[in-house]
Amino acid sequence: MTLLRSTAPATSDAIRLLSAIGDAFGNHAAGFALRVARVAARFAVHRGCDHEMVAATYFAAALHEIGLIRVVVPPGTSERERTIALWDAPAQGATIADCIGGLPHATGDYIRWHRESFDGTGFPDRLRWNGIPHASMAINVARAFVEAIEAQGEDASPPEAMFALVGEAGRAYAVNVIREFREFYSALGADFDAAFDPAWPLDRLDPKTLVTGICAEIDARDERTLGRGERLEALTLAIAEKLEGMPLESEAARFAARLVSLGRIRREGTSDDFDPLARLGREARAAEAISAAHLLEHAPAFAAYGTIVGASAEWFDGSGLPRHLSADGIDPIARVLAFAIAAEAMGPALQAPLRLQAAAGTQFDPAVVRAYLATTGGQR
Amino acid sequence: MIDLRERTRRISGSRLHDLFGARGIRSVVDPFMGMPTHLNYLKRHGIQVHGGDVVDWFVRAGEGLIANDFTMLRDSEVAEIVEMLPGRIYPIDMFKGWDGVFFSEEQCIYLGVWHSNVHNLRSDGQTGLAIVGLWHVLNYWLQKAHHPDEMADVPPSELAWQYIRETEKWVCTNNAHNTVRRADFHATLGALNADCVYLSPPGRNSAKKADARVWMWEAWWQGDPYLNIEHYYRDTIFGQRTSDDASYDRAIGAVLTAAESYPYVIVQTAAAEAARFAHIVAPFRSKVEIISPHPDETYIIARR
Repeated sequence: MTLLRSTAPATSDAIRLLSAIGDAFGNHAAGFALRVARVAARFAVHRGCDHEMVAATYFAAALHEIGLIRVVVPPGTSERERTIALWDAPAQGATIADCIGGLPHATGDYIRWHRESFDGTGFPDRLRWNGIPHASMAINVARAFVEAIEAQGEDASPPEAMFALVGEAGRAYAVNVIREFREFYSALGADFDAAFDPAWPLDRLDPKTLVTGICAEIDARDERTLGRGERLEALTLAIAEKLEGMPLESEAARFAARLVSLGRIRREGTSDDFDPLARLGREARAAEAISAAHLLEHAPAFAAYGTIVGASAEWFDGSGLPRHLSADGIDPIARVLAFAIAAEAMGPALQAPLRLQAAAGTQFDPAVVRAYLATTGGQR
Repeated sequence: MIDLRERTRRISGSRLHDLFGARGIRSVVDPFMGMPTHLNYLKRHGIQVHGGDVVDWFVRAGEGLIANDFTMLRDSEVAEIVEMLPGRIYPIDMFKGWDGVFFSEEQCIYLGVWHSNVHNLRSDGQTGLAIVGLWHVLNYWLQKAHHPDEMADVPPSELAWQYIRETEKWVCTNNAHNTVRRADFHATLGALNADCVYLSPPGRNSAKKADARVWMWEAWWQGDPYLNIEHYYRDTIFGQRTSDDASYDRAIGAVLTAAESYPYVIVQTAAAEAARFAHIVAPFRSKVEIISPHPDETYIIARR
């Protein structure tokens, strides 16, 4: 656990994580938005933009899908309504970027208008012609280009993707932007998406606060999970304080409790939630844990938390998932989290303490259950 | 070939929505609405919207996007707009004056056909939607005239179909009575009541400097390729001599006087003009706030 203390997450990693969250909401492969960011930023350099504009382009492209976090499309929604709901995502993304603070000034605006079309049929504002910021259109071009390449799979051919873009000149994209993008691609060739460092000081951002805020947004997507992160954090801390012979890094436990929410990104609604103490729901719970862990892998500084959150669906007796870890093989924070997740899900049910207590030694670490009972004085 | 403007005023419905949300504004009047996409955004987000303009096709577009809550175009109806119908006699020479100057012969024929088909539509909502969709075709053609080899060749009826289908998706309802009217600002503001007046005021000599894509479409809608929209403005305060600062400021002052009963006035301008507009607004309002998220996009928010 000292590992967690010694490696304070870097802000750039928090941005990477947010970017991966946006990818998950946009149903893209992880790393999509960062690739778009590299292409868009290199394109901005090619166009001779100043340092701040290049950085703003990079961050806006990296976070271009983050607004989807606030767009909730209930199951059964028609395709038309779904399309209309998604029109709000860029403006929501701009609001989130503006809240982050510390990013280059225009980042939010570039996100806001990155899906506008030159001919005025884009969204959210139906801006047209030169009313669309050049950087926003450049991000849109880079996004479409990378998307077209990735859609081709293993046989990806950037020239083919370029062909698709050219066909949209004068409609989705300004003709001069497409022309410049072709020149850019010709000049850089295979290096068009090489690593890029925006070299922008992000010291003003607290990475944990940033990620915690986003996790709260994920919880807020469903009224039943609204505030879940806070409740989990409180429960985890209370248990950690009472744990005997198993000292936990309370700061790490607190943060890990918030990160549990990342697992719910691809789950709309909670209708498929099983009794948190039933074996029947192990796969679903493990899927959430794995999903959160995978996201955290994309931000190296958060990877250690990924291991913890990924083990939060393990059972103390080794019958949990995904790795069938048991007893001391499970990270202590993960053992507390596993219990806190179940206790939070059960809510204030009258039988909850008894049922939780009954699961000691099978699903939960008995020490954790004892600590929990100590916090409640034996009652809840 | 006709010159297309380099600069386009950025009017962002989502930004306005943010400003409105922070101030509890639930209804708005825009007496110079132009193409009402910003009002359409606000309507979709539950704001009651009213618009006015002196250019008829803007008002027709408003009837499709603002006043219209439910009317859409079925496939068969779109087909009746974009194609020549057998048995109907079309005014295919109506826009011959533009042939070889701005458009090709085929495009001019289609403009005549569409003019006729749109005028035969059954409702104001459908007419508005068709006008908005077809306007995008006009823009595409004008743009393509500048970049003939860099834009795809799309058959006119296919292009029209795609654009009408695209813009028709914008129809929405907000369970409120939203209106548009063809009127000067005075009539618009005098007839309505709302929390806020939003102004993106016309520039100096705006009638003479109207974008080709605006006046051409009015000419198309009126069926007169030689139409000059200058006379629309002649009787308005912005049609008089407003090329000097003092006259222009007086014209803005007249709008602010007409908007006196509205709790909020939001004037959109550029950062370079913000101080000047704030100075004009100050005598009419007790609290004036300037919000400038971007140099091209500055809002003077004045409260009674």
